[in-house]
Amino acid sequence: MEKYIKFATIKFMSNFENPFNNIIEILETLLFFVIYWYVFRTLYQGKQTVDGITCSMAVTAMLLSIGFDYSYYKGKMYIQEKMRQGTLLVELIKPVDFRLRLLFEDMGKTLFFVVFRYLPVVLIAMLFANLQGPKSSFHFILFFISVFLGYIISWLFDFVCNEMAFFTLSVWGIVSIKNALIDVFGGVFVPVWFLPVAVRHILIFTPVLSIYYIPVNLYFGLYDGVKMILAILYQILWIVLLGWISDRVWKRGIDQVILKGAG
Amino acid sequence: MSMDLIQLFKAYAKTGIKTRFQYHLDSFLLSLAVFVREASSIFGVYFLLLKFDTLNDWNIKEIFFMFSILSATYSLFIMFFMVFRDFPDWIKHGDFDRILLRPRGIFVQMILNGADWVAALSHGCISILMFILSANSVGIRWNAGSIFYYLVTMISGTVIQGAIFVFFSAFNFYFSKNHGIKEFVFWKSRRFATFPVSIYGGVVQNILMFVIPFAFVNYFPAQYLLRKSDMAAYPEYYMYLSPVIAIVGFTLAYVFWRFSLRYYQS
Repeated sequence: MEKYIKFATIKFMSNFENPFNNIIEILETLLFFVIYWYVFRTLYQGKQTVDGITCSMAVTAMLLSIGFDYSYYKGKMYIQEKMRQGTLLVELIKPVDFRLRLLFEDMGKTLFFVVFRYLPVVLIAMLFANLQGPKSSFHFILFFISVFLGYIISWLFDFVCNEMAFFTLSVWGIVSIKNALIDVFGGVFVPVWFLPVAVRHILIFTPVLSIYYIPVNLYFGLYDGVKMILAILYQILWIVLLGWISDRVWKRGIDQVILKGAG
Repeated sequence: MSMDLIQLFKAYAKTGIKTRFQYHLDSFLLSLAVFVREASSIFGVYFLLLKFDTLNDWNIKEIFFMFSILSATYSLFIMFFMVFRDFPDWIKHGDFDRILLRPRGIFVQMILNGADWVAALSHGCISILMFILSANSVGIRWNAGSIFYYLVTMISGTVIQGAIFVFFSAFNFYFSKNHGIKEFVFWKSRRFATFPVSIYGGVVQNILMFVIPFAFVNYFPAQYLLRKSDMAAYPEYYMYLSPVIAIVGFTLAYVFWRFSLRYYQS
């Protein structure tokens, strides 16, 4: 375990090397949020609530989803790159688990992004936007647990898409489509509350809601009692399921690579 | 001379398309991905307006129409100005030196050479889709006058976006690395143009009108054809200003680019 934490620490520290990049990223996230802040201010003119959601709830939900979406390290095509360079098999010989190493490296990066890129955005946003706090400190803690689970789901989902590199020439398309679906249906471009009911029903059968929507609902305390526990269990279920899928695909993929002698 | 240029563009386009679409399935997936990615933001707006009906008096069809102008001009823009997007790479890999050696104008070659056909196709499809969904149901009377205005809008919008990129790529002659800023300025401000400019605060509006003039790419042209109530906040002549902004902006950007070229060290 210790070595994996080291991998995470190295990736965390390496981001300090390029402060200029961080400023650009902070501005990007902030601008994205500013657009939606204006949009919701305009949409809510003359309205107190829409479907029980206030303007400040909608704006806060956007800030939470956008911020984490920018922080999560997704869309890197590691397997494809390793296959093209022909170094995938070398990775497998190393005395560390390839996937765990990647996960920890990405966690290191994400933690950096959350602390040094996302947090400044939240602080600046608090200056001008009317944001809503968590329902209670208990809900806030629950929110963080759920965010962590959501991150693992997002990572596994990304990894499964990346594993398609074993079977196709380029996974850029698959990964981009997956990201676009998360943006539209996961709460980045529009809060999930405002999606049509039928669409939300379908989304239950995808991992998309677990990434940002469930944490946001826990933050506002929109689930009571048993529902809270069910929400967390639902997230854990997705982790197990995606973990199992990625395992199966990984084994098949590696077999194929070894058979073909590529990699 | 102009026939000659068209021939040259055809030749470049033919090889460009052949290269990009060499692997059929792969390039199909790639185009689909760009399409889905770009369509996703407008899909978000669609769901939002399904709930709220209008945004500052604009309904979803009208926003679709405004978006179709943005993606159509962008699609044209990447057919002609792509090189300026990837300019740091062109300098780094020595492709720019190759251009300097050929017996044609440098700028002309760059414009004819670097189309990204996959992206152009995807954005083109989105704009056509959005146009079909909206053009006949937003109260525009399509006659010779409005069609002419629409065509001028297409050209101005393309040239305005080209001017922004030409201007920023000129900095690459001084510093070989400034990828971040150009991307940032262009992509992020383009996102603002998805919504009517009138929803933003004064400072943002002024930036979108006079610094990075995306408002003249799609908002004011759409206003001419749609005449929404929020136009009352701006002078009437803004609706006719896009070609002027395009000509002035592009001239300035071009002059700056030519001037900066002197400082180019291979």
